[in-house]
Amino acid sequence: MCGGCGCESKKESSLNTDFRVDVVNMAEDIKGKNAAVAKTNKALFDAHNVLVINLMSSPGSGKTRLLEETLRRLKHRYQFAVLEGDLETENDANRIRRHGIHAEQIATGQGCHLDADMVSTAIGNFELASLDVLFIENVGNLICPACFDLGQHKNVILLSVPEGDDKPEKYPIMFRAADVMLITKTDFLDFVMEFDVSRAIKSFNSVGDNAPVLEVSVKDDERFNGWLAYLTQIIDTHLSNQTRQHR
Amino acid sequence: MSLCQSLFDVIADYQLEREEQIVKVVTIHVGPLSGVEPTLFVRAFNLLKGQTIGEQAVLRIDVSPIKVVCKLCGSESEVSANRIICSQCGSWQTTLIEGDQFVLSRIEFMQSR
Repeated sequence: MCGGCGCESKKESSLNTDFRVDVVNMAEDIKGKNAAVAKTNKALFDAHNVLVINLMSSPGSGKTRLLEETLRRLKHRYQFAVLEGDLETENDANRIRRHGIHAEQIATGQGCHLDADMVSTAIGNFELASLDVLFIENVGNLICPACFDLGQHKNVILLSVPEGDDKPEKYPIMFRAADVMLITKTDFLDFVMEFDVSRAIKSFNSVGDNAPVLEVSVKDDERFNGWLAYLTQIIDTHLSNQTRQHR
Repeated sequence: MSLCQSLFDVIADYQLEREEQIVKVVTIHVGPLSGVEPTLFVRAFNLLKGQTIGEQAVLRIDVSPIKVVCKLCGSESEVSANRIICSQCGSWQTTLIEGDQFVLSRIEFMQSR
């Protein structure tokens, strides 16, 4: 058996000479059950040509505000829906609904992340056949959400200027999961002199991630348009690939 | 807690075949990038075990290193969690080959009295 990941599954059952003890060796991936449900979720999304984007960050980094502005600008171009995850309240789902977008809320109670089972249950509330993109706004948390695959196609990780530029190296599991890192609230750069964008990028690279980094502010058209350009490119690419596969 | 519950769910599958046995020792193999923090995980295990696999169960944790292979020079390196760069050429363009696993590797059962 591989000493690292347990890639070779092996079961042995041996009886100790003390017949009261039974030792069973195995290599069970504990995240395997969640991974299996995530795979089923993804297959369902692919069957309906829906691009699923998982937004993750600490609380208050601007996920919901980013979504609101994104949806306001692109809702006439694509069909969107949003799945919100929070411990309590429907506040974020209500904010999305005000833009005329279908939003469902998962209240996790004491759960600090979404998992594949939760998403699998929630999917039934969406008309997937009519959607182009489903955003999943995960629970605000820089640790646990990255450990649970949901069946998404892309992970978008937010790092806001007020949080500091060294968060990637402090939370490597989360930032390694990024397909793109958004440095949000860049309108604060003039006031938070300690935040250095190049240091944040270096911190991101130090956890072995070479994904793109975009500076974003909902109050700055030029910086926001950079995010929109990236987003529309991945949406169009996904929809185009899905169309080719179904021919 | 969620990761702990996932572990208990897997152990429960093995317990189904052993109705007259109790779980004595559980051994898991984890990497630093798995999301499992050993000290906290032991606490969660001890807190929850009474409701699931039994108060008598003990947890052992084997922690593996983080290893990467460099996409530029091809070298393998053992690295730390917040500095995942090639120790030979310094590149951050690396692929993880070990260090994010969370594997149940051994259960020791005992006959219940």
